[in-house]
Amino acid sequence: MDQELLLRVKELRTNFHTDAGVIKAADGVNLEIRIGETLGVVGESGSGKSVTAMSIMRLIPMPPGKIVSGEVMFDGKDLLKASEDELMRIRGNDIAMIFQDPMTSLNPVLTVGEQIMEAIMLHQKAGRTEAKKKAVEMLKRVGIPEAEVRIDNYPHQFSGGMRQRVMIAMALSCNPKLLIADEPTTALDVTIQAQILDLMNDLKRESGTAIMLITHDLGIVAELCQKVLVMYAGNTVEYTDAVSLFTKPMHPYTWGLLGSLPKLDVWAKQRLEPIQGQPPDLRNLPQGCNFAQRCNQKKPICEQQKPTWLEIEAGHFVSCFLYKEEGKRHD
Amino acid sequence: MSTNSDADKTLELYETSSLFLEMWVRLKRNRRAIFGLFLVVFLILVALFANVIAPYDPVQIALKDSLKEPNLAHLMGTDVLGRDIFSRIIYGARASLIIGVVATSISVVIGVIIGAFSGYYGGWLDSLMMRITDIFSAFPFFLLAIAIMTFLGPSLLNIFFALGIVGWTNYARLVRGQVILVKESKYIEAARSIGAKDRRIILRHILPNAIAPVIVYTALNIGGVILAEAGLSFLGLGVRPPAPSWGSMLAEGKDFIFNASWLVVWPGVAIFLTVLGYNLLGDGLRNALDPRLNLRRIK
Repeated sequence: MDQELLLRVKELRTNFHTDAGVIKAADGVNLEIRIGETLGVVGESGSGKSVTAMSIMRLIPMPPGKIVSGEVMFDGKDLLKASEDELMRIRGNDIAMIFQDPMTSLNPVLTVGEQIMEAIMLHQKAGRTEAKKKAVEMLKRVGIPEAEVRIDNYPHQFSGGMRQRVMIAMALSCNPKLLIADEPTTALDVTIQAQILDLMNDLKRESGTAIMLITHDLGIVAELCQKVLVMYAGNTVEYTDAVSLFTKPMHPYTWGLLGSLPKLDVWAKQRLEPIQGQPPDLRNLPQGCNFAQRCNQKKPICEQQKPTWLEIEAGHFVSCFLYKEEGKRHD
Repeated sequence: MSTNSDADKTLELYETSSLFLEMWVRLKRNRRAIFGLFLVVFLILVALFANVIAPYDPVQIALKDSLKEPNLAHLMGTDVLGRDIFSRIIYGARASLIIGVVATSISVVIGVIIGAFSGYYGGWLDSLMMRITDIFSAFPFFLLAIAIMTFLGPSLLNIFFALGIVGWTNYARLVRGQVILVKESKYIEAARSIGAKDRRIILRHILPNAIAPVIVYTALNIGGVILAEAGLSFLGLGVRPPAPSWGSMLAEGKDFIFNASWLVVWPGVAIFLTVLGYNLLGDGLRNALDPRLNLRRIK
């Protein structure tokens, strides 16, 4: 195994058992994150981005959720086989998470200081005074003015952007190896988004934390990420470095995704090209490729078999029958 | 704003205050609640300093002073054994308060534990505990208390037990509902994501967020428990004579209701004011803690 490899997810499948049937929220997810790298995970709503993140953390509510199969190798350990005690030590310490909505992700009845200190005291075996010192330091690092005073404030006394800074301070307080950020800027307005992303990028550079950044925004991916993973209907369809995703996309879904973006440099009345159709019902996935119905490159085999995850070029993985011949199997 | 400095001051408080301070700000505006709070505080002071305030020993029998009308020596008159009613009312406050607080605490502790487990873990544990709760609450509250007291015999400890054990079901339901609501919050997920254990999540993250309605219900409930204690004592199942209790004073006085009405009027007034105080305070707390009246949002 690659020395630099921090996280490798292979063929992860997570189902949700509901009254309306079994929802295959993650249906064969493959990804890799190297130490200190930023991976952008893109895909439309319901494509399994958050479920993948929660599965890595083993925070899927069970029931109704269930991780059916797969492998999540983190730092040489399969998290899907880890005991609850091991997971408690990993969560917050080695892997930390930032959530989408900072307005609801902080406990309203505890001061922000208490909440930052919690992780420090849990994992670093620090006493209260030491933890508090560290918490103030973290608040300063994420750019909260008057950190010594603000630490005793309650979440409602902070604005949305400030709260997301607090969340970041919480997440990074134990120097995790991996930070999972689940749409950290979706709930914030655009100027604050830029600040938060800059902050995350700066902190990453300082601490060498790898980031798994879940987002809808390809612009953010282009700016921040070294690697990109494209997801569609529970599948990972393409994984490559950010440059070749934009210059040499391989999966028809990625083509569609890039084609549907507005471009500033085209000076013509150009219509955006949406991808025709709807994503499939996750309770009732097609026998073949999940994207086949909407794909303009469809071949007969696409409706009969699931495509396999192939490394078409070095470091460029695609799951599509267009490339079956050239590709070598990856395992 | 010069026109509305009071509102400004309030907003300033919101900026810098804790949640309980906010609750107090809102409670302060409610005159009825403040009256209730006044009654409750008054009762607590009377109970605490009963031995200082009371002019006579409440159990001292003086047959020559039997059934004296209220006068300067005996402000509320005397009972059939010549005991000073005023002193007995004051000491009765102590009994009422102790029973109200201890019995309610027992109910709260049992109810919160059962409700929290039920709501947090769900599944068969929840079903089992809620069915047990159903069975307990299927008995009429007062009848069950009478049955337990008859079985155990009248004593202070048994009253705690009887009133505590019949009262917990509502707390269990209340807490369970709140816990189910709160445990789905994002911040609970966030707490889990930093590696917090179940116990820590329940105690530090869920319960503090679930406790507001419990506070309200407790304030309302103490009045009810005090009333129930008076009822039990009235039936001779409560505080053992000669120890003073408002309920047993009523019972002793009921035979003389037409020729010595002060025997029943004063204990009645005492019970009335106490229950009124707790109810007004409880109502006020409910309004102060009601998220729909949240002034922060209006701001």
